[in-house]
Parts: sequence; structure tokens; C-alpha cells
Amino acid sequence: MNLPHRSPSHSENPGGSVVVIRGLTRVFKDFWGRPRARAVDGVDFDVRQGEVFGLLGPNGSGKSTTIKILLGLLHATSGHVEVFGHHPSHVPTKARIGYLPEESYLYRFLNSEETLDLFGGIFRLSKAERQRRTEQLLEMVGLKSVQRRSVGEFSKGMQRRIGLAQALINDPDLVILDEPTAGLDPVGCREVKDLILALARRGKTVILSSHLLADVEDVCDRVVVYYGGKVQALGSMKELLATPDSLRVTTPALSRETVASMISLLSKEVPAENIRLETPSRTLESLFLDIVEKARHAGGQTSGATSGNQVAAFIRGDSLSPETGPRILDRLAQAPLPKPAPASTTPETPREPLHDAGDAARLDRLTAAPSISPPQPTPSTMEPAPDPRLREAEGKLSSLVKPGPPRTHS
Amino acid sequence: MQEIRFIATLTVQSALRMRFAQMLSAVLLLSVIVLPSLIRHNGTAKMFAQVLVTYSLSLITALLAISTLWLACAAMANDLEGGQLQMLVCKPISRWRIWLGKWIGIMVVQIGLLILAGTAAYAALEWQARELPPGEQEKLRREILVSRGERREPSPDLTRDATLLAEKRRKERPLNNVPQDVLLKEVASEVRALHETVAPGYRRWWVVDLGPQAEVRRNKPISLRVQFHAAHASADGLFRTVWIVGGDNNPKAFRQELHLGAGVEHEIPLPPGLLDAQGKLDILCENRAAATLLFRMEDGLAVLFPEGSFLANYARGLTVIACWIALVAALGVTAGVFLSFPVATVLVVSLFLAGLSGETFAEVVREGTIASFDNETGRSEGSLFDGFFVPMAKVFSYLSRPVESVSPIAALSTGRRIPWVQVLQAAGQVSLALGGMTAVAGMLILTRREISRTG
Repeated sequence: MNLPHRSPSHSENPGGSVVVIRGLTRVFKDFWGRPRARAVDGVDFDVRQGEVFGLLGPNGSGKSTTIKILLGLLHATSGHVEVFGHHPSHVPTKARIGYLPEESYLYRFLNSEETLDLFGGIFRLSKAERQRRTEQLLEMVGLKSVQRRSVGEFSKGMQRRIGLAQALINDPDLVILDEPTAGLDPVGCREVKDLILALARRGKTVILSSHLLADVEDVCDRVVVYYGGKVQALGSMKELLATPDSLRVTTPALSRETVASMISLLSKEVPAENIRLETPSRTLESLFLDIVEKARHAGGQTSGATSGNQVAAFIRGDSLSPETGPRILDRLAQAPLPKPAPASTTPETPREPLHDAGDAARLDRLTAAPSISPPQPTPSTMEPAPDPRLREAEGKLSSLVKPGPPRTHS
Repeated sequence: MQEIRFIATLTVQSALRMRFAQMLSAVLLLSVIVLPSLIRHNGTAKMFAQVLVTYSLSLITALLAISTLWLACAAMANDLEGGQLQMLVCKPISRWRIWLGKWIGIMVVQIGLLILAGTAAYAALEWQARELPPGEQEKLRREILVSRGERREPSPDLTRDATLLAEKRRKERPLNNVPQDVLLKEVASEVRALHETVAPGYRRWWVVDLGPQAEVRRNKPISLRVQFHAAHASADGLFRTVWIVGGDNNPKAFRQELHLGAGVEHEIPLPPGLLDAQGKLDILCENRAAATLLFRMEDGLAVLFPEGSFLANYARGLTVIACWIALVAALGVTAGVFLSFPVATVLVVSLFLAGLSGETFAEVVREGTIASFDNETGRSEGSLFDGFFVPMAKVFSYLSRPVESVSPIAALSTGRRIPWVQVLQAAGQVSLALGGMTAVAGMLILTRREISRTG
């Protein structure tokens, strides 16, 4: 019997909470029953349908314990946990959940195809459906060319990819990803994040546990921050990251006069020392992605995972046909990167509009986040300004360009 | 069912990819084909059968039992320790189905190996039988590579007879100072001796009913299997007996004087047509030796008759072994649910060895002590630890009884038929009752326990 495909509209609780956690506490005990560690301590939060929810916290802060309680792998010492309105041990509910654990717990003697077939079988998918999904998922995670190699021979990153594929074999409504980008190369990381966005677009709920802040920042709608088993902060990314007392303007490269005028103008309201002007450099991530893409186009061979694969059709839903579906790496090249270089002096791939408003809003927000890139020297030159304010501005600009290469004044 | 099938297939794949099944196949084939050909026998059919059938089947059973324990413990404990079970229980499959799937997978592997080893052992037996002298080959075909049912005289109600005799004794003379249980014990021995002993010059008479199939068996060659003990030795080790089968007054009855040794089994072939109208066989043994002979009720005399083919009997024997394997697999999978692999293996092997020591436990229970027991006086010195070990022995003795009562190897090596009742008994008592209890315990523990490698 095939499990019915559940779109968000079929959910029992549309727009409501997929996960409800109230007063969750888990105490680990030793052999004699004495309390050893309070891994989770009075945690409350909800995960709403269709959101990407991040569990953040340092190692040992209780993230994985919370996830394992959600999955019924561990029992709560006290508190209330509901997943799709049921106790975590409710077996039929598990048909709607996909789980990627923090380590590869796959059978080392099976190959990728057999691994997906096994889990598809446990989800009671028909043989034809298992074959279809296996093919698409292997294509998606870039393991199509190595599908006959046993998982035990895979690198950590490749094991991560097959782990991700098995988590999606049932087209789950709730995807729980524990450290999904651990061990992945930058292309793989970007693809995972893109996949999470694709899942969110289809109204799937994603719970992402990570201590890699960039992962969470890139994709999450809301996050909970753990420390010592307790919730330290909970809210939307916008609420948690907003700095309302500052403003950032990003433009294409401007003429020297325009920049000087702009600084002069700004100086009327803000002390000069509070104005930062910088030319962001290209990120290492974008450089890496570019190199891999070029190598791929040049027909380079690899015995490992391939990149630039498209999200499996059954994960995308029916909105995108395989023909029109964008290849992930192509989209990455087109879409604004998390740390964009608006006035970059190196050639950039031209940007094109995003595929949907959801992505646009999310990525807009990301571009508004404070840059962590160090200021880079600008190659632009400056003219002496007659106006004192312009002179002041020029002084500021000069201080900015001091480390730059020597240029001849015109 | 699909999920169970997938888990079972996974377990089989595991055994094959880890080269477990291939390795064990090689060891089994080596054990049942090569090794028996190196063992010397004295050229008699009986010795030949003893070496090949008993040795091969015992070895197959031991190797399969130990490998099943290992595989079963590993199937569950390694998955728990390696985290693979986490992946399974996050999917929509009940944990009891995971247990069952693993057990079925193990059974598929081990039954496959049993069939392979059983077939190889039979082929080796047929092949090597050609080396026997012609007379012994004929004996082998007639007496050992056959399937013969057996009937005995029904056992008398010794307790009732003993009680009646004890009452009679108390009436005859004052025995007020003798406790009833001591009197009963002594009288029971006396009653038993009356049934089993044949003094010199006396006769022992048996009537064996060949049952509802007697009509079919009427014209088939039947034989007597006889074993007795003597009160004292004779000069040549033989004892003169006269056997009359088919009725003392019947002129067509079988009459023969035989000089037989004590303490060994003898087979006396009988001509057909000796059964009476009711399908009963009348057997008389006259003791013409100087010593009293003792025919035990358990194995003193049995009537053997052909019933089915050896191959079918052999298959039934292998089925009984499969029932044992089912129990051992259940024990292993269940131990793997709550113990680490090495601890689970040690525990289950210990239990297995305890099961094989059923007779020792039964003896401890019978004597009521683990200390020395004087058979003459019926008294023991007693031990400080009896309070603990005797009840433990009772439990082990009780649990191992069904396992011991359905041993097929002895029957196969002597050409006795393994009745379907015994196969069903093995399936019911060993697999369903003991195995079922173990399975339920394993499933419950797996359902309730936490499954996570780390906190």
C-alpha cells in the first residue's frame, strides 16, 4: 500500500503548530539512577507549519537531545511533546517525518541505491515509486555516478549526501536535519541550503539543528538558541538580528564625485567617524563555486559526489517540470550570494531575478545583514575638492584607500 | 508485511555481504564431507552409521547453533551500537516488526545453511556407504537407513500399584514407625522390580499393540529391539534366552534360542504374519541363563516396523533441528536488544550450555542437593548452597526438558522413525512456547527502551 502523498493543505492543523514542546526536561542518570546531566531543562517552543526553524547552540547544549525526543528515540523525563498532534512514539506519524541524524548511521554494506530502496520499502512505497524517487534523489545529491559503491566506501561528505537523500525518500511534511552541512564541501553546503528553501517553498516544515551560524542565518525563519539545556532566545531572524539604529546602503560602483558628495551629505547628520564606506570583496564561497562550475562545464571527471544537480522533482512538487527546473548551481550563480559584492572590482556573474518572492525576501534580508568581510582597498582615485566638507570627505576616503595600490592622480 | 520483508532481506544481505554465510557454508561442508572420510570405523554398518549420522548431524547442529547465536546477537546489538537502529525506528515501522524481521532474516540464512549441510551430509553418507562390505551394506539399508516406527508395552501405573502394596504391607505387619513416604519409595522399587526382572527359569511376557495401522503392518517384516542387564556376569559374557513370538500355542509362532550379551541393543528380525486378530504381538522370553535378567521398562523391549522412507525421516529430523535454531535465534536477538554484543554472546552461550546440561540439573533436582548422594541409603550430605542451586536447577531442568525430549539425532542414527508428533512437539514446545516467550520479551524490551547512541 502506498502512503498517501500529503500536501500541506491535507494537514490536520493548517497553519498551526507541527511541533509543540512544553516544559520539556530530560535528565540523564547513571547506572544507580542518580542524576548525571540535565541535558534539556524546561524548554517551551512551537514549530509552525511551513517554517524553517533553527535550533542553535554550542555543542552539548541540548539540541540533539530535543530532536531525539521529538523522534521518540529518547524519552522525556517530564514535559509535553507533540508532533503532528501525536506523541513522538506514534508510529503512523513517522510516515510524515524525514530525519537526517548528526552522523551517518547507514548500513555500510549497502550501496546508495539499496539504501534508498530499503527506506522507501519501510515507507511502503511501491517498487516503481521507490525506483523513481531513488533515481531523482541520487541525481539531486550528486551520487548517481557512484550508486553501486557501498556506503562504507564513501567519504564523510558523500555519506552525508546519501543520508540527506534517505531523509527525503518519503517526501516528508516535517524534515528534521541535525547538522546537515557537517562534512559537506561548500557546494554541498550551498545545495543543502537551497534544498531547504525549496522544501519551505512547498510548505514543508524544516527543523534545522546546527552550531554553524551561517547555515541557520541563511535559511531559517525562526530560531531558538540553547545554552546549558535552556532556551536563551527564541524568535524570528528579523527580530533577533535587526539593528534599527544603523542603515546600510549598497550600490553599484559610483564615481569619485558622487561618493564624496554622498559623504558630505551624510556628514551633515552623522559624525564622520560613524560612517563606514567599504568595497566588499568577493567571498571565498563564490570563488569556490565558480571554480567548480567551470570545471564541471569543462567536462572534469570525479569519482566522488557531483555538483550542480537539480532538486528532485517529487521534492519540488509539480510546480517545476524537470525541463524548466533550475539547476542549483546555476541558480546560485544567478541569485545574490549571502555576502554580496555590490561594488566589486572583479567581474561577477550578472544577477537575475529570483524565482519567487519567498526566496527574494529571504535573500534580501540576508543581504541586509552586517557584513563580516574585512574592508578591502578600493582601486578608485579621488579629485581634490574645493568645498571644506568635500575636503573632509576626501580625507575620510583617503584614510579608507590608504592600504591600496599606488595610483597616478589625473 | 512489506516492512518486515525489507528488514529480513536486510539481515540476509548483512550475512552475505559480511561473508558470514559463505564462510559458514565452507566450514559446514568441510565438516560433513571431508572430516568424516578421515575418521576410521570398524567396517560394520552400525559403527559406520554412528560415525557418519551421529557425528555429522551433531556437528551441523552445534555449528549452526553457535553461529545462530553469534549472528542473532550481532544483528540487534551491532545495529543498536552503530546507530543504524535509530534510522529504522524513525520510520513508520513498529519496533516489534523490526525484531521479527531480524529473526526471520536469521532463520532464512540458517535454514538455508541447514538444508545445504543436511543435503551434503546425506550425499556423503550414500557415497561412503559403498565402501562397506556387501553384508554390512545390506544391514545398513535394512536396519539403519530406514525409518521404523516402534511400539512398546504400555507402562503400568506404578504409583497406584505401590500404594496398594503399601496398604497391604501395613495390614500384614505393624509398620507404625515407618513413615509413609519411605514405605512408598521402597514398595515402588519392589513393584518396578516385579515388572522388570526375570529370574532364572522364569518367563517374561509382553503384549505390544501395533496400533491402528496394525493391519497394514501385518505382512511386513518386523523386528524386536532388545536390551537387558544381568544380575551377575557369565563366563562367556552371553546369556541363554528363548524367544517365542506370536503365541505360545501357535504352531506358526517364531521360536528361537539366542545367546545374547547384556547391556547392548540386539535386533531380532521376525517373519511377517505373527500379529493376532486384534493387531497385537505376543512376546515371551524365557530366561535359561544362571543370572537374573532385567528388562527396563524404558528400553527393555520394543517392536520395530517399517514406516515411511529414511529420506522423509531425515527431513523430519532436520525440521526438529530447525526448531532448535528458531529458539536459539530468538534468544540471541532478544539478548542483543538490551546487551552489548560481547555480553549478549557470552550470556546466550552460557544459557545454551546450561540447556545442554539438562540431565545434570535433573539429577540435582532428583537428589535435592548439589553435594554427594548415597544411592544405597537415599541420603545426601547436603550443601550450604542447596537453597540457591536446587531451585535454579529446577528452573533450568524445566526449561531444558522440552529441548532434550525432542532430540532427533539418536533416532536417525538407529533408523528409528521420528514421528510427526515429535516434530510438532518440537515446533510447539521449543519454537512456539520457549521461542515465543523469548520473542515477546525481546519485542517488549525493544519497544520500551531508548534508542540512541549518545545522550
